[in-house]
Amino acid sequence: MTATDRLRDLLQDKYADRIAEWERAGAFPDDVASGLADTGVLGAMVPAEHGGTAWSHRAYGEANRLVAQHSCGLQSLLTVHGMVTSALNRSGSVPMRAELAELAAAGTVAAFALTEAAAGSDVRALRAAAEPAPDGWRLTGTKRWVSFGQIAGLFLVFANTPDGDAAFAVRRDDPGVRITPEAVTAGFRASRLAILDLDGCEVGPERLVGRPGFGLTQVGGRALVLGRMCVAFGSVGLAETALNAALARLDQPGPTGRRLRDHQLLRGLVADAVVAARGARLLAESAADALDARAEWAVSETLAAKLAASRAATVAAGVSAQIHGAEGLVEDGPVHRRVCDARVMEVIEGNTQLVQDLLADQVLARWRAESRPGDRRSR
Amino acid sequence: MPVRVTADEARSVVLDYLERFLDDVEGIDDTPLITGGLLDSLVVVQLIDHLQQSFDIAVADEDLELSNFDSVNAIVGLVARKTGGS
Repeated sequence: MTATDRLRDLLQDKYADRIAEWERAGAFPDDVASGLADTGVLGAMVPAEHGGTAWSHRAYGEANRLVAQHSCGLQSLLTVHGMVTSALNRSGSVPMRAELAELAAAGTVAAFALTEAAAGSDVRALRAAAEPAPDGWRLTGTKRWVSFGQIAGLFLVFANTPDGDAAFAVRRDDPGVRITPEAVTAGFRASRLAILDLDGCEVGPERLVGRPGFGLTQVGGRALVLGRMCVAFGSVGLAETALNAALARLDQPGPTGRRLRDHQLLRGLVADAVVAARGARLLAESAADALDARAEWAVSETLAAKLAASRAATVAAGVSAQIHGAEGLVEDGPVHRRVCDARVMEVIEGNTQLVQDLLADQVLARWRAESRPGDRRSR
Repeated sequence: MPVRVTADEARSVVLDYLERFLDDVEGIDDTPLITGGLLDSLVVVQLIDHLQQSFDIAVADEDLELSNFDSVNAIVGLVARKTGGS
């Protein structure tokens, strides 16, 4: 039995029945990750030497897709946890890397704290500050909309130092840390979003992740590449579930025996949604393979996958809602929930317009690289 | 093992790379690339990967100093040191 099979069984046996209840309540339970830990998925981005399971990007993407078929909010736990554990593994200090085992296997959630009230897509507008202190660093600032911030044990916090932007590992129980729940959002309702206030939070020198001047690039930039891959696979899972619900509804005989599937206009909607979802899945798989192969244009492929998949989720969830008619309008129902979740997919880890902008840079760069072969000395 | 790379060779590879994203790379040898906001954060990540692959070098954590990456000249110097060139 593969790890993916174990995850699929766990979701079916332990999570499927309870997810609707958690979504209604607007909160996953504090220990929601502990069940997932047994499958190894929380250690997927951590090598064995640090207690991880070292999955490929492709396998981790697949896990994101499977979880999102049940709950996109729960899938976003894999997005942020994967981003933070991979960043700590790549750029963390020796003592911090030694603690990865706890994040990989004990069900302790890691959260990604980049966004601020005035710094969303424009991360250069970051206000949080980290000043050198006698024994490490002193952090001050407020991070917003931190997914799973209410239950996370560790936060990857981005702040400006006198030598440039940097990333820090901050623990929930560090002095000067205050965690407040955000208002419940329409999509990803149960994801326990939090405001993270750092009021002169003092941490040791070992908490610096990477180097000042490289926080937003080496640490944050790389983490976001993985995050976008996760969002792409999660969006594919959402699109596929929405499509299946739409197809089931289309295929049901009505009271007079006539089926919705015979309405030509609805057939057009479904055909478009299938093409969007299937195309997105192929792009997501191609991006994951490019990341596994460390291919030159992996960043570009990941942006393309995120763009296509989050939009496919919007299309498929919308088509499913339209086909379900009034039934699709029920506030707590799965059809409407998917519409709200798809909106979130087009916002997180780079909104649609930012991703378009970044992707345009990439495709132009690739075109330049391929249309001007050879090195400059021969020109 | 990295192959010995001259400063001219390194400069050529770096400028070729930057030309993918910047319109005019002539005369930018000392222009701040990162602190000057010329390169998006993702592009910096890709540049570091490109250097590692092109020159078969490993850019370690301790190499991540702005003084090693913030200009073409700085990057050329880093590559030369990493490959044992001059």
